[in-house]
Amino acid sequence: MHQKHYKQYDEVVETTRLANGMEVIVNPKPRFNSTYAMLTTNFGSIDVRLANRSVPAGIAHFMEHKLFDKQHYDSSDHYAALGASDNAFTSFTQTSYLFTATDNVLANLRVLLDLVYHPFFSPEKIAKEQGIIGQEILMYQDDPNSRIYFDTIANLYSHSPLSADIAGDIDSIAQITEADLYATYRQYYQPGNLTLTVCGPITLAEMLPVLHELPATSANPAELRRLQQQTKRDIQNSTVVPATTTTLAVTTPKAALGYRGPAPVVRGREFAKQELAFGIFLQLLFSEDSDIYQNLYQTGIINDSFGFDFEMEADYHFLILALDTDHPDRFFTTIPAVIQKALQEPQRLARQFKLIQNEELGARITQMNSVTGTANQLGTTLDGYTNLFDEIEIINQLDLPTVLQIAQTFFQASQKTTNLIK
Amino acid sequence: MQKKTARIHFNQQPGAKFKTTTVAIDFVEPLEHHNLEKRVLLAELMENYSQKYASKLQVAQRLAELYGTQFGTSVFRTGHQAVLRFLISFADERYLPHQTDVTTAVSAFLSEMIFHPLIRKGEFPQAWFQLHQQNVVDYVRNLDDDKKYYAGRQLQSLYFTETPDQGQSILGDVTRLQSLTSAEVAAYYHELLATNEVYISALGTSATPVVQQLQEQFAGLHQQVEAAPVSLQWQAPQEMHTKVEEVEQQQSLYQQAYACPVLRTDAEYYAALVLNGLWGGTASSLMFRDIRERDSLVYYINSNYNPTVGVITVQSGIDGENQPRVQSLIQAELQRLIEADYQDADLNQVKQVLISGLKSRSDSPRRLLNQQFLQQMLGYDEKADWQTQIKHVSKAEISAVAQKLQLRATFFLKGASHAPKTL
Repeated sequence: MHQKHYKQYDEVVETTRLANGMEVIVNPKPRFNSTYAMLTTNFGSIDVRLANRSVPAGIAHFMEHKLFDKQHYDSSDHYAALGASDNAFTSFTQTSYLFTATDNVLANLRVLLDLVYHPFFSPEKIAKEQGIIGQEILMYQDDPNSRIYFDTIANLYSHSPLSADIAGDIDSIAQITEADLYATYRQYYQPGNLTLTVCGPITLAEMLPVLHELPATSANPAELRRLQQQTKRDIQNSTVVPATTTTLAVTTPKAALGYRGPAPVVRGREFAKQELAFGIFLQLLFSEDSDIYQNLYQTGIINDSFGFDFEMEADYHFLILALDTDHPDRFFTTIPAVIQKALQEPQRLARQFKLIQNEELGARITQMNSVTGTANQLGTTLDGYTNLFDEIEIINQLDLPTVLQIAQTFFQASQKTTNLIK
Repeated sequence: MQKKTARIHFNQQPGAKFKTTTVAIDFVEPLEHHNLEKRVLLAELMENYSQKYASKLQVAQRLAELYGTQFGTSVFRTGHQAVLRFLISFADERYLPHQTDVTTAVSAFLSEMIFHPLIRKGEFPQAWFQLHQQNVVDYVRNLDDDKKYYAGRQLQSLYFTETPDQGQSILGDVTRLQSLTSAEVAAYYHELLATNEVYISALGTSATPVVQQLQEQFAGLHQQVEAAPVSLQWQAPQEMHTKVEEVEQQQSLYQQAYACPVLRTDAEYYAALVLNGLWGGTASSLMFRDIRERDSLVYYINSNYNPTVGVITVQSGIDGENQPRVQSLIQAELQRLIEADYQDADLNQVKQVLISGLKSRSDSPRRLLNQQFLQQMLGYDEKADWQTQIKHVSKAEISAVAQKLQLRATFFLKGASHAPKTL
């Protein structure tokens, strides 16, 4: 067990890797009532490859639903009987199962581990779930905000695992079989691919007796890495659709501009540094304390609906800027010009750099107030478990030239798409 | 009879559990539909400008200088009161470089934003006013694209058909937002300052010094007002109001509103809270377990209890064809509550979840501040034994409240296209 003290913030982070390969990270907060625990597998909607075949799109999300449904009980009932609230979510690259509890934390932890470690799939239960997930898919299809975001990603990585809806579609989920679920589970839910993060009034030492009840062996990590490499190639070989327009009932048209940059080549703390630096670059241009943002706002190019999001993962790195506007063309032409100008005349950004650093520090101190916010920021395999407290140190060490150089690398090699819903 | 009462109220909860100090300043007045739009635009303008910080950029940069201090305004309703809130949250000095005195700077900033809005010659600068007016109008219009929000708004306005003031969105009406002038909003600022009750609540390490500094700054306002103390009142519609609307989308939404004559300050409050948790307010509820999990009839279904108004609403996302079945199942679950036709274990489970949810409130500065504000405004003390109160709620007490529920509004947003579509 490893303990790292962050004296300035009066915080400790405890980590260990179990014999079966599962990583465990704990930030004890003795003065809080709630404990938040999240068990994550590095398995998301893009992972549809098995050794000799593919499985239907949406299987990760489908499995997330089905893991709760055991042969003779539902894990949610066990949580509820112990007073916990539980949830789960699936993204492109991960599936996470979580609970929040104020009492019976170790008993709830057992429910979480049982939920993830002991699958039960049957044809009857699969058929029933297809109805519920079908409804969920339709709900997202009706939501213009969800559509503008995911359709823009689909443009950036067309005909790749990233272009499919996270939940799949009605046809793909109808094809999922018991055999698919078991085979996929064995491949991607092996303990070496799992990370448990916990934040609340509990220590790692208190959790260890429960963790030691887990099986001590994992599956085949080499095969897992080979499949992940194949998925990466599937994504990298995809092409960009330069522009799309869709019709949907919206009050004001929704416009999105997407950039696809090169997939990151670094890992560990360097990955975290590049991710933070790219985020700061975008803040320099598009946060409210940027004069560039204010000019765009006052000239009506952007408005209060404007927002941006970037995702940096092992296999991809993209940026999406979006808003509701009656003048999408002005938005589509002005934003790229603004980005180019900022990269060419970086001296304009110097004054704001320190402000953004201050702001990032304050945001992280605020985040430490939340067990959820902290547990979600205890790091991932990809960033070498760089946590919230480490991030402050990285941000303080960053300088403007480094930030600009990382942004240059992204934009120079980037491809663009525009997406309009009207 | 109205009498003079204190108008400005201070409350502080010092303590070092959190790494920030959070302050809420709430301006409260009875909900008047002709003031809603002025409050919305005033909140927007006061969030972004003051005399000293005369641009959005200057405000944002000042907040960044104060180590990412978070500041914002919002409008919301509590019972029959309209609230305009200034909320600020800043990091403790002990965690900042150079031990910066953020507390004094934040108090000065708040004072500037509240007492020196950017009003010149009786109005906000026209260009800024028009820009924000348009943005607020666009924002309110676009909200309806979110069909859950839209259905909720329709339900509210149906429920309050007989008292339309209550049925208004707290964000007001688009036409009236468009017709307001800068001078009207500026004049309303002075009215707000002179007449609203003010509740100042602070939580965190710097709660005491920040309240002391704000007391000095608010000393210039009239400290008393002719008004009855705020209290909750229950009004129920006499008639049932129903509406069906078709929309071009695949899913349908079905919502209901029940009059519930139990308010936050009533003795039966805990019974109503548990009733809602058991009916549809938690993942262990009868609606969730039967209608969603057992019958797969809905993608989501839940109920919400608003104890400041006395209403329970039910929201569901469904395939339109299933609406009659869902409607009768919701009713059937209510009948089970009346007849106490459920297991003791179900009841205990829901109580556990509710207790856990309330215990976790003390981990959130904002939830604590809200609680502090409500208690002070409504003049009640949350009983120290609230856990025991929840545990002691009996099936008979739940049944008694359940029998009093009256369905008074339903809204069905019917998806016009049911054909499954492949992405």
